[in-house]
Amino acid sequence: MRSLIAIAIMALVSVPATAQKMQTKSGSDNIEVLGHVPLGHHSSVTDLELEQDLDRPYAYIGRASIVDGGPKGMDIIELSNPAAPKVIYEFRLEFQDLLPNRGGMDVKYFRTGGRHYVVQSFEFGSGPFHDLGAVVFDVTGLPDPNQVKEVARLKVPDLPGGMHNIFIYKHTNKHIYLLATVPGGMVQVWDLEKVVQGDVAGAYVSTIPTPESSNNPGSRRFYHDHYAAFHPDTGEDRFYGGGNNGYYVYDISDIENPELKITLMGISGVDWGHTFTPSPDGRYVVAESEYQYSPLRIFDLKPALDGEVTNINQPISAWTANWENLSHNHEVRWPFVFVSAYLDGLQVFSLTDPKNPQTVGYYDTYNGSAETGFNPVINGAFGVDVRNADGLIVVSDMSTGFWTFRMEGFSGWNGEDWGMPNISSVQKWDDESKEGTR
Amino acid sequence: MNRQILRTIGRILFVFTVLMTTSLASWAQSGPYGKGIEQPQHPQKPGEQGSANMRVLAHIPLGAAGSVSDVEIEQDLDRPYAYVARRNTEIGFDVIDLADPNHAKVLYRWRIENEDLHVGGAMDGRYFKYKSRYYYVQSVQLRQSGPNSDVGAIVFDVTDLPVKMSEVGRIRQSESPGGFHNIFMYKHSSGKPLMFATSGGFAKVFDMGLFIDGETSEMDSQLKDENRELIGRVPVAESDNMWSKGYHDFYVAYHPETGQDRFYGGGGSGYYVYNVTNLEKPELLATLLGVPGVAWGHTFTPTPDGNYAIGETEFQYQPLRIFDLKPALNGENPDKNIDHAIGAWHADWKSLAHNHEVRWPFVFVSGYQTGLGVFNMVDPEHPFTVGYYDTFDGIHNDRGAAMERLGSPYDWNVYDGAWGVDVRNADGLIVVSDMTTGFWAFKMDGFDGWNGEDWGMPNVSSVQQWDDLPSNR
Repeated sequence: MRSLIAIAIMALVSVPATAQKMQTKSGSDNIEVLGHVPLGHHSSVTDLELEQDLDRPYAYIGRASIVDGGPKGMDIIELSNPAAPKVIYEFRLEFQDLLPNRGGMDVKYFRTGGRHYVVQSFEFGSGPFHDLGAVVFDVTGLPDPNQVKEVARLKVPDLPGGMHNIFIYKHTNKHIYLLATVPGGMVQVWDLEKVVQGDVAGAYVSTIPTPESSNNPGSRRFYHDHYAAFHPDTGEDRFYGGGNNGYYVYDISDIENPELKITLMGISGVDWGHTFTPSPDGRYVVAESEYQYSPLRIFDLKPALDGEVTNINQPISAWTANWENLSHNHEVRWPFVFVSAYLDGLQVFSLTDPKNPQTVGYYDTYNGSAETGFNPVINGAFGVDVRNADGLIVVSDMSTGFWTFRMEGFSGWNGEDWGMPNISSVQKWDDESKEGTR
Repeated sequence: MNRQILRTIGRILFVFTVLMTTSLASWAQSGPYGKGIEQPQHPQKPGEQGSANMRVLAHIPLGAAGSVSDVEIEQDLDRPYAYVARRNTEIGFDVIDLADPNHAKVLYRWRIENEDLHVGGAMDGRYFKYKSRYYYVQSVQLRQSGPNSDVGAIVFDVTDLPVKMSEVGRIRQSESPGGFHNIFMYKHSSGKPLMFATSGGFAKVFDMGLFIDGETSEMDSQLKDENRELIGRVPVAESDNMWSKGYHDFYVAYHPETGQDRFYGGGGSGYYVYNVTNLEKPELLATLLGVPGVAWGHTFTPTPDGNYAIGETEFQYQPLRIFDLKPALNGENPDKNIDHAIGAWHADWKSLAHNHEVRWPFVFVSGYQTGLGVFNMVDPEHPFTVGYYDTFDGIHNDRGAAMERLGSPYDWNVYDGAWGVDVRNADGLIVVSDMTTGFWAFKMDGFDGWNGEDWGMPNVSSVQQWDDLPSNR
């Protein structure tokens, strides 16, 4: 009888425990949470960047006030122990109380002349930093926070509003370029070596436009996000931009004379393009359109690369974590695509069969209410990055902060291991050749 | 004795544990109205095409793949007829006899004369009753590479079915050839039976009473004016960068709160609501423009009270969106525009829905390659599936395969499967026309008919009460 009573008690205890477990299982079994650092006010965390050298274990996170109350600046996180990340530096713009909402958005690092730099983009619709596009820091002296030095501020007084997204690209001409979205329908190209050498005024070297057409007049043109990569088949430096009416691919080998190669316009359900990233060989692209219910679309550029067409308007497939939400940014490490999927947190899918993308891992970093005073589906995982050397995955969540992960069986990435060029968003600052080397 | 008691207690504990686990798990996953049925990916496993509450009563294959378009069912139980439009390889319509829904059969196949010379097909079909006789209107879209490209609709007297039916006449619009893609029959508050038809950048309004009555003076026979019955044009409100200049589909309903006849159109760059009480001066009441992902509106149907509407845009991956019209209609939005949905529903996010019929709180959907789907929108922000049956048995969600199979130029959707759906209010009979698999009849458990008042709503749906004025409902 005693054993029966014990069974009864266990049954009663185990019932809520079972239900709780079903409610709280946040990730797939192959995704391990290593570390998590809450960063403060909800909706105050934006994009992030992870340095790629294992001996420089630093991540950079944009801080902004998407709704009221967030700081405007950048945090630096030290990751020598990925299970115990810690904030070691906080940069905050002056006059915090005077600044309107928004602030630090995208962030990227680069290396030149043996020194390490970080570029933090800023975006303000008004206020004292209305014309500020980005702040450049020398972070060579990390982990000593006192060694972080502001090097320059990139201002765009003629096109105020800031730089929403940036990308840093090591061009085949050996120059290191900052590609930055600015108001006015273009991406500006800044020579970062000139910037760190003090020639900020002479650093703005080129413009990549959005194509103009009859239904695409100047006032409506814009880029939202972009990517640049070497294209081995042609030997070209290529720019991939998402903006009004869709997506655009330019040859930017001659940086001062970008040449439009491919357009992706007239896509059903895509009024404008957001993030747009090619596979390492440049054949397939992953494209986001930032509205609720929109999946990530996969396009095959081959018909355009082969010269059969110049415009592509049909995806070959699509992927979503949850059709009722939407994805935000992503990083391609073929065949994997790592996605910061807003309310669905970190998601990883495989493009092994580009016509049938398959989810291979996930972890929901967002556990709050959708009602935060902003768009209810725009909260949660904002940015994602991957360290190729060891496969460390980092995510910035707008409200829950900074996260580090490992995915089982993913211990690093080199494109050649997958039969692809070793090309990703990761730049090889010291390489002479753009071709991947082991 | 003791062992028996112990076994009984043990059984009770086991059942209790299972019940608690199940109910708590269910509670953990559900909202206030539940999450409904989890709809499987397509194609389903053999034998799992439908939910347990959906019964197939009849299925009639009708012919070549891609030759079936929309469907209409008469509402009187003593007139058990459905009409299925046919296109491409066979141009006309089939009349289905549903006297015994379990043994539905094709009663009549009407085909246009010189069928081989015509290019295109029959699209939408609607019936109406006028002066105690019943008429069926078949819209057609016939291209200019063949005859009759100026014909938009062909009208039949079907009063004497199942014995006979006859063609009454053809409605032509030579100023805008290409036919009528969609039509809607509406009993206007003026008492007139009206046909709204997509044509030339408008929803053109035809007085079908005038058409049936025919020539009423000597002048009529002399003038042969094809616009004699054309008594109104509902425009598409202008906006920047319009995706289309015309309407694709529409719905018209009496709005009890205001006493207005209201038109709900999809096309242009979204959706539009007009007051069409005075057909000479349609009054724009609301627009739904700038909705992310909606460059163009397809089907657009309000709830019986006109407060919410379901909007379709015919592109792969697009869900049916649910809009709250109140802020535009009650002056809360000064620009009278709605630019976002409050809810959405998908049978399968890789597919898309086509047409739908609203019987609040249920919405019956012909979901192309997902077949028949039924969702409940009692909570418009959280619609949930309550039943389904996949009528399509081909490769699912592969645009290229569908285009190749049907020779279709439409590369923006997965174009095959359930095209049309209709519901008989008297007994809840559901009919579906599938482009490839033909005609289907269903019953959904617990749905034995519909009257809006049973659900605390006006008794307003696509079903017209031909013998009464809308205001008397």
